[in-house]
Amino acid sequence: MDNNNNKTYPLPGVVFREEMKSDLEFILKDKVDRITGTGFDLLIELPPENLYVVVKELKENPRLRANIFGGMNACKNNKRNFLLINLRSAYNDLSVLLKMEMQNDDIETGYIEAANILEEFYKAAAFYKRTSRIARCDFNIEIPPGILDGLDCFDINIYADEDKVKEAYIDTCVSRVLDYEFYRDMKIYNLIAIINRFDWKAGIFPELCLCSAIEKLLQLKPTKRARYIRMLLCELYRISNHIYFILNICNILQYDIAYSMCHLERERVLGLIETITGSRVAPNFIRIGGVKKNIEEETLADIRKNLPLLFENIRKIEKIMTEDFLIIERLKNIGIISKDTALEYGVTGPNLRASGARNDLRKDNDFISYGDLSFTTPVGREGDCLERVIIRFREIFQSLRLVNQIINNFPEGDYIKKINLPHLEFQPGAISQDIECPHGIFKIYMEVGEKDIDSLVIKGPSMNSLILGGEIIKGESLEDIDLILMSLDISPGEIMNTQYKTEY
Amino acid sequence: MLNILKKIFFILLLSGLNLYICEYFSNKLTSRMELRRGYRINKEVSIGFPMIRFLKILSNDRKISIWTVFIFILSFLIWCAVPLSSNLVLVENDYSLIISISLYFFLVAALLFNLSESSYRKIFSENTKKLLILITFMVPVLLSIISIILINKTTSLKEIVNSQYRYWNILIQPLGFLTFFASTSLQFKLLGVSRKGYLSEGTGIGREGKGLDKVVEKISVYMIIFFLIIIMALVYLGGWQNLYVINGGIMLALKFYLIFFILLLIDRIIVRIDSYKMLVKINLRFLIPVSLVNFIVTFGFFILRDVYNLI
Repeated sequence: MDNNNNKTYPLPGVVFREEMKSDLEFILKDKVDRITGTGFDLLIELPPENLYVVVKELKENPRLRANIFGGMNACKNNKRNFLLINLRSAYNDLSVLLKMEMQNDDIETGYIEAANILEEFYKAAAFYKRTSRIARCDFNIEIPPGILDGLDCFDINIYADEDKVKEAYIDTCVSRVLDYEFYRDMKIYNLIAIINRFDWKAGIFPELCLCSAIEKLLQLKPTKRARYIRMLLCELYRISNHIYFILNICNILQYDIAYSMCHLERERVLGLIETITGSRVAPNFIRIGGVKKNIEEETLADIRKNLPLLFENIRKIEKIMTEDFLIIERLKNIGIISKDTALEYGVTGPNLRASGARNDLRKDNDFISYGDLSFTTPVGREGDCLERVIIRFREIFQSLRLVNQIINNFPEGDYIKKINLPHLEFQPGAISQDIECPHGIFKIYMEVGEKDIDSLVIKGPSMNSLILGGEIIKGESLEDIDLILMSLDISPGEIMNTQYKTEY
Repeated sequence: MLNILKKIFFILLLSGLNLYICEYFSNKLTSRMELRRGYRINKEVSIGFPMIRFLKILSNDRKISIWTVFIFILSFLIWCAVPLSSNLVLVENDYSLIISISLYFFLVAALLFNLSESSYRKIFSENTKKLLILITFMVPVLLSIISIILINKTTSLKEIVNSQYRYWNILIQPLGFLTFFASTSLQFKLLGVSRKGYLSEGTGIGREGKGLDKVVEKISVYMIIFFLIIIMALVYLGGWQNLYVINGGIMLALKFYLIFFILLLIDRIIVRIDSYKMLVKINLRFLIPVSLVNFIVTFGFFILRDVYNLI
């Protein structure tokens, strides 16, 4: 067995984080309770009354400059209740989690107060504010879920002057309501089986994120073969997700020929995934320390046989789409997102890269074993709908090349490290894990006791895209709304109802 | 009297049969193209599917407006002056082309009025926009028709067909045919004949897309397309003229289905055009200028030939 496999998991950017931690401790010394490192982020525990001062310092201090609002989540369980706010910086890779513990009754008011405070510093935080239904009577068009194909997790209230959208309000009240303690009394292997519901377009990523977090806690590094199998599945799911994205765009454009071709190619990729995992949408394949089962040589040969076909057919779809002047005219110059706006709203993934920011966790953090592979991150310039479609095509081709590299360098060895799962013991603490999923950066924050998970906060990237979507449709014409929102690749599984938001 | 009733019966029979055949083939093509696993239409597409769909839509009770009645009457009245063969015409008139085109205008206008009662504003605005764009696509059709009238010096459809006994009008008016055909195919796309939610996008939401008025709307949408295809076949492609030993009626049917299938296939390879940007790009910058050039050339030819007797 490879000796490297027995080493502890190296935390990326440890040196930098320690330096930043000491800086933060110096700057915020009497305003916060504690600062700890949790994997990808620094966890700052603070009392709720100091939130304004701390956020102001984080935003305005030239050393920190945390200008990106990642999101806000409430966590309630039988042990503790807290609010978790994610802030990042575009300048120095600072990523902090502000944690405010509260009493059970206070969390609702605390959530609203925190949203009000954060709105002063970050535009995106206005989304989390409480809005009364009476204030929304001014809107003259209500788009219920279902009219926009594939986006059934929100409704939009629009105030339109003739054909132009003046004001837009996105309400996620129709999206799914998640029980705060869905993970309570649940074994870890059961949790892995259901967590893929958070992203039904690419279900492997939530599983991988959870397992990687637990592995980091256990200081366990999976075998090389397991890592390669994980990368293979990640790339196949990425291709499947991006084809699904293009398919939806074709559906809205009523471009039936490309729509049907996309279906066939997605079917081909899902078939490959099915041969590996035995499932198409909810894989339940990643395990702590490895994967569920090995990949046979025949399966690899099957993938190798299908790669040129996929490449050729997707190239054909790209050609017929990008050479059609009607499609270019329809997609060009609508829903433009500038680089600064995308960063400000915390958008990640291909949507951010289409705006010109080079940001890819696979490349930046040597995630799984992507360091072994040679690839470049495709970056766009314009940031409009056309650029977002083109960047997906380029990512599909890049993923196909990555799959080719993975198959050609497929290592021998075990596919899982055997661990005693029923009697697993953790060192109590908190951990956060980020992962580059096809929509952006998928984040998990987890607090563990000795035997089980105490708190679990899951945050998908689609929420930020949706908040930005509500902003960029202002000024656009009514006919382009569905195209713009679809071009942001919003996964309905990640959109969850924020129950404190709407006043009924 | 008996003769007229017989003709009415034949026209109704032909249009009903065509509706059934075209709906069946449209569904068949959709199911052929959508090869994804477990798609519902794969199982449902059979010879009886159009009837099942008709009954399914009809089963939802809904009040109908006065415009629905108008649409229903107009979609059959549109055939009154159109000769389907040398004998099969209800009203024999020297102005049959003008009457037919006027009825087609009225039908589109009635569809527009019917849509304005829609309760969802987005659907209402999208559909009215579609129909307004469709009305602008009538301009190339009109210019092509005027050119044909100038060439043949008659407004009777029967005489236009008879004048093509030597060669078809498509040879004299290729640009006119091109604009007419392009306009028809774009109208086909706009009306969404081959789509499930043909005119209204929001099918199945609330009360939209169900009930008797939807059936009537669907029939009218088909009738508009049938009418345009028949006019194209009569005016440009020789109508019911015999070809060697092949009967004229069979020739007309062949032309009709050939054009319908070409339109059905074109529908799959162009994207939706119900936006004002597309209207400017396609219609105002291409179709209308081309048809205008054709009209001016034809008009010049007409003046030289008939006013100054130079040709």
